[in-house]
Amino acid sequence: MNPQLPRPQLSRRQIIKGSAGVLGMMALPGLLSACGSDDGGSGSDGDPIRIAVTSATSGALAIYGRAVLDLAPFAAKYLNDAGGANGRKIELKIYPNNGETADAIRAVESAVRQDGFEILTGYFSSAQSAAIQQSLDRLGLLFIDPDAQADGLTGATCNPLYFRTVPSVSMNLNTLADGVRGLGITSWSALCSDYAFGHDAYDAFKRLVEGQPGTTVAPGHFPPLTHADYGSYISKLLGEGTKGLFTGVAGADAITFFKQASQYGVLDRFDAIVGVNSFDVLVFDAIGDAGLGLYGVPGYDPALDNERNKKFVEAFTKEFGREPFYIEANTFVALEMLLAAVAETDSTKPAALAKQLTGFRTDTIMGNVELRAEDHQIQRENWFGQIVRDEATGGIKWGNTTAVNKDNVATPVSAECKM
Amino acid sequence: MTLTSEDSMERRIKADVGSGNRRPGGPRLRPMWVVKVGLVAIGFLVPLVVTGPYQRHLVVNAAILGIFGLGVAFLIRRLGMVSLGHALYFGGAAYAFGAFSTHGGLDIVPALLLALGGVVAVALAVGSLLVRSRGIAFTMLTLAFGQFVFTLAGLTQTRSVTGGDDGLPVRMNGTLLGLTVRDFSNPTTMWTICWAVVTVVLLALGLIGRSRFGKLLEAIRENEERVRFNGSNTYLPVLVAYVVSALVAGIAGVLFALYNSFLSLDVLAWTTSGNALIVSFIGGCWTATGPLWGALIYTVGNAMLVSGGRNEWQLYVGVAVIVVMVFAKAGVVGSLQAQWVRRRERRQPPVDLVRTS
Amino acid sequence: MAIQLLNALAYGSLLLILALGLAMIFGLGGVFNFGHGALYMFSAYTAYSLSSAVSFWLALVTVPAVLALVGYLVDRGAFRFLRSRDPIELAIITYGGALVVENIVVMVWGTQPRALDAPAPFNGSVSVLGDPYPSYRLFVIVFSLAVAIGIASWLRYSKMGLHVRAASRDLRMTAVAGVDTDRLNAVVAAVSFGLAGVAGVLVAPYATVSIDMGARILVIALIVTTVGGLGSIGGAAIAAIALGLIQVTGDVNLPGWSALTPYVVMIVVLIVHPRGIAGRIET
Repeated sequence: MNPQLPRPQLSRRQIIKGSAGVLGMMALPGLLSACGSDDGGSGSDGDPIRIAVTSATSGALAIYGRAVLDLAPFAAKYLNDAGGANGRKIELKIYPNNGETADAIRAVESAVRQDGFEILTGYFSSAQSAAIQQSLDRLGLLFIDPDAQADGLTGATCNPLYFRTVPSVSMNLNTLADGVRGLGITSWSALCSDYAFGHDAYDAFKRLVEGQPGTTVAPGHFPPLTHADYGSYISKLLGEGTKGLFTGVAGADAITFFKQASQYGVLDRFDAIVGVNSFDVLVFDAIGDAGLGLYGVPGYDPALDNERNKKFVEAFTKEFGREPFYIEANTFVALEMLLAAVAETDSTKPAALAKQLTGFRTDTIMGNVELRAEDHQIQRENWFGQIVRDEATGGIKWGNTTAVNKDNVATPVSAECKM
Repeated sequence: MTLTSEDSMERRIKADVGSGNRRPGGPRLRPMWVVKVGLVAIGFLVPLVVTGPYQRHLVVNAAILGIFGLGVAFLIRRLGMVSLGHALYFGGAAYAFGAFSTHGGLDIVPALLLALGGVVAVALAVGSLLVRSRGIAFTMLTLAFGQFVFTLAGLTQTRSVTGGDDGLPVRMNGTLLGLTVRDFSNPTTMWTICWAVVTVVLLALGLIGRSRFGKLLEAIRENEERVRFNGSNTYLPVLVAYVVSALVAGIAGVLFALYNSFLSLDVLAWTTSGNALIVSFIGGCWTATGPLWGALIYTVGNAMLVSGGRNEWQLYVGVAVIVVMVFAKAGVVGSLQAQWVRRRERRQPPVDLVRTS
Repeated sequence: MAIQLLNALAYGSLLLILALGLAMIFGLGGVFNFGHGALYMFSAYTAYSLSSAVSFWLALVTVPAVLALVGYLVDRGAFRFLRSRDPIELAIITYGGALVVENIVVMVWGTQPRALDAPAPFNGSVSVLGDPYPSYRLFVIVFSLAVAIGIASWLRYSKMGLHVRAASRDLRMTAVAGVDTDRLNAVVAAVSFGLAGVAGVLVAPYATVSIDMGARILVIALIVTTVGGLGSIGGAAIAAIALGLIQVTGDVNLPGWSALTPYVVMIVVLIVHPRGIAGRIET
């Protein structure tokens, strides 16, 4: 037993008095809100181009976040050395976050409100981007997003200050479907992770592929995200007797699935296996030979034949000892477009830049690209490819890449997007 | 066995803090009330001192996390029960508010009331199942309920309501106390709201703690069998305390939704419950305001340490948790108060404090 | 169907090894170890590096041994002084430890997921009733069960095992009877950490090695331990295999909803039978 001091009970009157006082204070917010002032750093023209870069450095997104953190300073230096925008130089500051949306918001608030940044890029999940979109008007922030692929970002939640230099999920699926038509396979099985992206991918694949007469797609399998054991699904897939396999699993899940499928000897049973957004350079080492032969959308082709790209890939390879992949390339395109817009307007103010970027066409490492005026979605060609042996390293890499025309990649402007 | 604070140091803190620094002979309690009202008033003026908009953003975040922590700490302080599933109420209230506003098209006030009503209803249902268990079993059950809802919210089948991994942008309609969406995203306004809520919650939890009901809870914490033996029902009081604690977490969740107007699944994850627990323990579960200070330390520390290139935040939190739990389990505020009490005792040994060795 | 059964066994036997470690250290030392998942992840990364550099089989021997040594030292250096603390406080301390270990792994290995090929001679597949089945999984099942049986026999037939069982029931009485319970605690901590090491090494060629693998399986393993009856080893074994079965059949027949099964099982078991399957709970 713990003896306690006898405590006097409060009288009812005291309680009522106290409560009334507090309620009175609750009327204060209205008074004080008048004191709140929006601030915005005012930089006069001729100043550097100040860009805040936020990116996940822990959590599940960190693998890509750290790649962007390495790329950004390199890209800034590369572009500055090439003359910047009419002599204006890029000035970066990095704001790490832990991958959760609330922390990404904290990072953005810190960049804008503490350090007065007005332009944002970096590495973002779709949820993070949607969260940041909510605050753009309030913060007076220009947001160029090279990563988040959810359709809604340039659809239902599109924003005058938001621009996207990565194709949406639907655009990548259009690309995939275009490539798949050439494979001549008429029966498909499908396995996608059980989340928004996986289901969208399955629905779109089924719709696009079944558009061809005589082609069927079996009902999809949807294992939960971050599943440790695909054994039961693999057994099911084997029983379906189809010729092709469509997969919509990403990141660590893709590694797990393909490793286990190869242990089961599944990969030889299908004539073709296609995956959407399953693979990039960062997981190639882990996946190893299990990935060989997979078809997919690499998102970028380092072998693109234009001067800008050749010089960029050469400098990048010299710095990092490997070729860039789509996330790095998309981030670089974001910076290229921004620089071109600054050169055009001779301003670093969000309003002026947003006006310039709307419907803006310019040359980048991915050729001549456009940020569509209606929804600020990048319009460009895209690529379909296959994972092949990398003779130089003995590992694997994207190869047999074919370009898909931008008209076949594009999706119509969403009716939900109102700016 | 439940979490109790057996050593005399903490008993002194509790005796001191819990009784409002009162000595026998009532009149001396008045100055304390003046001080407290003064502190509340000063709190509203924080924006005058914290002038940077980012710093204001941080103190708002700290206040929201702190209120959440107050809810979690209430169960620990009064009953010694540690919940690892209060994200269910924090995130659940936020999502309910978001869904009623966005999908239901309700105005802020009814959406808010429905969300909090929902929290009470769910807490009653869940609580009626789990308040019989104690100790680790209780903690694990709360974890299971929390993860159940977290997993449920991420399922494809519920995606049309929660937005799944893409998150839920909250579309608010109407006004609250004459304020609109734009005002809620302003950290200065939000601070005032949060501080008012902090005051109300502290007052309410304090009154509960001091009431007969609070006494009963503490008696249950110290010796449940004996309370039952005395003829008191112990099931209902624990259930009510659980609902109160859930409601406080839910209020914090609604504030979170109002301020951010965007929700993602991580507000429901068990790590969110874990953070509330961490700030409570760092600040001190056994004091009235410990969780608030813990939240402030956590939020400001995070902002200071996570800038520049790399992110070792987890490491600092891990070390801090170990150090506090091993060497100062009364938390930062609790330990400081104990120091103060000790020093005062040395000058003027109180006759009425029961000492045990 | 035979394949699905084997899958359930494979997943269940991994859970078993993890839950055994958790149950032992809780049953005796009162440590509800939230750091168990982090140890498992750390072991998987170490196994990945050792296998790539030398050999998987070396990793399977050395990693658990090193982890056991760490467990022994942690008990002597830390847990020993915290014995009087409430299990919840210990749990929170180990949670802090998990955060630290996780961050150290990120510092050493980075955040990229890694994968390991199954070691020879288990790198192919064998035919089970006409269907191909990875032979490494069979190895995981057999090896895990062997380890579990080994631990069970040690507890049942050795003198030290007798002491452990006695101390799990009543630590004070066992100490009064002249058993050095401090040493006993350290040995059990060593075995528990070692088991986390075994599970970590075994899983490396089976699933992907990633930073969040520990936190992910921890909740499930804690559930298995609780459902089995806190501190009970037999109960944990039954719960692990049963949960493996339920999970695997649920995956196939109730896609989506099956992710909820571990939580539902735990809630139902604990509400119907608050002391878990084995019914021994002291808190």
